[in-house]
Amino acid sequence: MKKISYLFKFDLKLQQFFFFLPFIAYALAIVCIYISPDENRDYIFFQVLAVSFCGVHLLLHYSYLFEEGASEILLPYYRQTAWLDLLRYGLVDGLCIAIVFCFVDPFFHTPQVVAHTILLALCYFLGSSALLMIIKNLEITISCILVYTIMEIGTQGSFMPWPHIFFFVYPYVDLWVRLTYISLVIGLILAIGIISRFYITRK
Amino acid sequence: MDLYIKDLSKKMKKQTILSQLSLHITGIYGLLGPNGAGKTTVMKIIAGLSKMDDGEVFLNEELISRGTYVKRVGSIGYLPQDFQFYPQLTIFEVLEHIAVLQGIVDPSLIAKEIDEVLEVVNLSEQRHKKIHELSGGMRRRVGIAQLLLRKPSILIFDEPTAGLDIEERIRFRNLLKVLGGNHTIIISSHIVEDIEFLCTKIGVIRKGKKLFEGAPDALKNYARHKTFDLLISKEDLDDFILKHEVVYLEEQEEKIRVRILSEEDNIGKPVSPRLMDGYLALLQEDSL
Repeated sequence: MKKISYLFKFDLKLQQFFFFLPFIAYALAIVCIYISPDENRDYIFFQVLAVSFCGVHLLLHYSYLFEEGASEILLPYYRQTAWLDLLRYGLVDGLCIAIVFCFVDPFFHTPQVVAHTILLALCYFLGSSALLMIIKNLEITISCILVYTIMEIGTQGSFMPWPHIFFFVYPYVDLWVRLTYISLVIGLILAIGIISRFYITRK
Repeated sequence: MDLYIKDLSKKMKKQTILSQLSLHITGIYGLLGPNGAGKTTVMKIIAGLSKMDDGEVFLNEELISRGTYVKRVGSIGYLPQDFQFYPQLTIFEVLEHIAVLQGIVDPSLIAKEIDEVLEVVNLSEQRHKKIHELSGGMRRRVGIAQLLLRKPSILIFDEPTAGLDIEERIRFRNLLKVLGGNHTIIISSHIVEDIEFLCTKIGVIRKGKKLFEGAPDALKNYARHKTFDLLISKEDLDDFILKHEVVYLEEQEEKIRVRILSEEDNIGKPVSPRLMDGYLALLQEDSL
């Protein structure tokens, strides 16, 4: 426990204001859900403001590996705590996502939506770090995630037939919904593969 | 501790980087070779940071590689040539973090360990300086301090003195010599003078193959009977350099003393070769 608490304090020291960014987004999601007159929009606010921020902590944590020549120094240490980092941020962000989800209209508390939330959260949680491991640049990675997320929201998942990962219109039953699940599962598998490969081969 | 590398091979983009390379690393081991010889690749493979296609790595008698990776790297510390980490933190904060990652959680023990390593690298006074405020040499010494916290028995340094000013280079070189007392050290460097000063054993590789492995004196022997000293006039120097392999020159009152490598006999006064001469003679011999 002492080590976990120390690691959080260390990340806070490194990331400073940015450490609180996901928590601000989670709080903002709750506010938007609470004040929105249209409960149909609850799940959209939840996906966009809460779930899409759940990978930020891990992303910032890994970003220090990609500063000039840092990876050869830091990788042995990151390898040592890889599971602990995934676990501690998985728990913190998972807990926050669960809390925000409680504010979403109970109408959405169905197994189908819960399954989507879990897959989407895992995708953002691991996918953003996996993308960083490929791109090796924090700014470009954040830009890619932002552009993709904003384009998906702006077009309500209707722009181009690329993998869509958000749910916009309830009830979620048609073929596109199945494709969304498939996209998320594929994304998740890819993310796990990239992160594992990075830790083993540092590529 | 001795490190044995057996039949190490690696290809990248269909190009052979290392070919059946076997080395026996002991004491302070200098890895020499021209650019692209595969020195950094060997060191990264040993440190578990890069993959090999084939081969085995042993620490003493124990196999520490499995498949294509060196797995047990806890006792091996690698310091790259250029690095930057946690620039906004102080030396103490960085080392404190690394101590915690090593499993030390007692603050007094952490402080004691940090004091010890900072003493070794002579950075006790600068402990509260931020990493981005440090000179290249100081940053490298922080690099060593963080390695020492891991208590490795093998230290690997890639071009440790490259880009340092003379004073810092000498200080760093002396530090490596001290560390060599209780660690096995691998150093790759283009500065043959540093290798000559530090190393008890030398390996020369070229195009991923071993050309030489042995004591510094054995490498010098490659230039025996080929190293000559002669005095030439200043006016003849340019012409002379074009025709001969000048290894060293020293300006004297009216003439210039040059040391050359030559296959010709009686071109000058035969002298005892230095490590640089042996290294160059070996490369020349291999090129023939």
